[in-house]
Amino acid sequence: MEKLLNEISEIPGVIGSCIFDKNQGMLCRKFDVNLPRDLTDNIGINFIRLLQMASMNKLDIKSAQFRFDRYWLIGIPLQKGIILLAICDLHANCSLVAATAAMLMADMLNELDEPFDRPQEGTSRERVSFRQQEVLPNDSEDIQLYFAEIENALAAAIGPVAKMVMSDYVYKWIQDAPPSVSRLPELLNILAEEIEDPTLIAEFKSQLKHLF
Amino acid sequence: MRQKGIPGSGLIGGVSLSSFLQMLEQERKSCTLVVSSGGRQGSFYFDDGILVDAQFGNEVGQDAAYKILLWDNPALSVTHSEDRMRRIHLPLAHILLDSAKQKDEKDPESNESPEPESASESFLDDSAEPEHNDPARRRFIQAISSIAGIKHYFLLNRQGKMITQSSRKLKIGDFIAYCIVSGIQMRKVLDVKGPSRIQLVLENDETILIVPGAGMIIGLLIDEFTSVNEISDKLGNIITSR
Repeated sequence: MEKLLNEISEIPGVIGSCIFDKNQGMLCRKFDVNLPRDLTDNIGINFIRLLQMASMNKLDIKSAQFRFDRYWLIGIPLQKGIILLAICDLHANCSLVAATAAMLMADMLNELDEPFDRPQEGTSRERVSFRQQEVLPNDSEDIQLYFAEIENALAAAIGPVAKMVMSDYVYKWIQDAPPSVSRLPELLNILAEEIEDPTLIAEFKSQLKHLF
Repeated sequence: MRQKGIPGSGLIGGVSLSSFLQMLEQERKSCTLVVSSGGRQGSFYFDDGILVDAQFGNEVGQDAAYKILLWDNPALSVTHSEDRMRRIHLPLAHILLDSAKQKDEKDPESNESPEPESASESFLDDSAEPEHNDPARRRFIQAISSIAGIKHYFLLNRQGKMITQSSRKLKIGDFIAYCIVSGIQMRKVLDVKGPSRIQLVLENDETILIVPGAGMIIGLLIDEFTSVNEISDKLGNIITSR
């Protein structure tokens, strides 16, 4: 673990870093200067509480950075109740510190013998496309291409609302079962029912007959 | 809401952009209307039939709306509504009328936007935003509203009580106040001054920037494409020019 913390401490401007557990306190630390343990514990618990407060407000925090007159304090949640803390001088590149920590996160958790289980919120429909990519299997690229084709055909039938309708039904389709090309006819039939006009339904199905 | 389209195009047959905008207003829709023309793309944002914002590139509000309205042969597409800061305070009919006038007066080939002469006036209209009675605060809100990368603002007094916020959905006033309290606790431990700035990067790459000022606490939700340092610099300029 010290090796991983060293990688962060080597970034210019980083004074030191440590991993703090809400229940066990400081798990490991790497500081160039001698900071009292109760100081880092105190800061660690403040960051943990801040993340708890964020969670209560449905905010998913990737990193928290506090700028003081002499330091930047950076907190990065590794897992529930465990954070990486870095203290940097004012010239440090904070986003680089956060990015490096994110890159090392999996290794750190492995060393802590904890499963990598970052919370993945995502119930809002605005995240549908992101979740589509997350859950799509090996033929995901094919499916994405088909989605675009289906959306175009739907737009020809129902106009500008096609994107919104498509998004709603794809979301439901993914919820029902794992997405696959073989399940596309199921999606197409549901979408066809939304068109209402028999002529336009026929045109829609004809345009996408290779997918049925 | 469902309209029969022109096969293969996704356009609504025989309906102009202005007519479609009016329809969204009349039907009190909450949605985003994406307009495309000649490789450009812009958006109109509706909340319960009210046009609250528009965006084209780095331009937002009425400036963006006027520009988009000048586009020829626009293709339209409707997507889900977004919780947008209200940057447009003029009625849609007024904007459409202004745009039509400008279109008539200007060279039809020109893509210059009309001067948004009424934008600041409408912003200063107390009936539109009754909570902005303090002229300095109104100017401040007007200044931060013109920055495209800022999605929402949250202004709290020094006691952590919300003064005003632009988001209709996000209720993070207490959380912003807690961040300040947390920063003060860390300050005591470290024996330093501040915090002068708090940045919280969210999982969706948006950032909450919190700046405790002399008169109030400023919270800004910044989109994922904009540099926080850039916004912080602009904010510094706005604060010092108040």
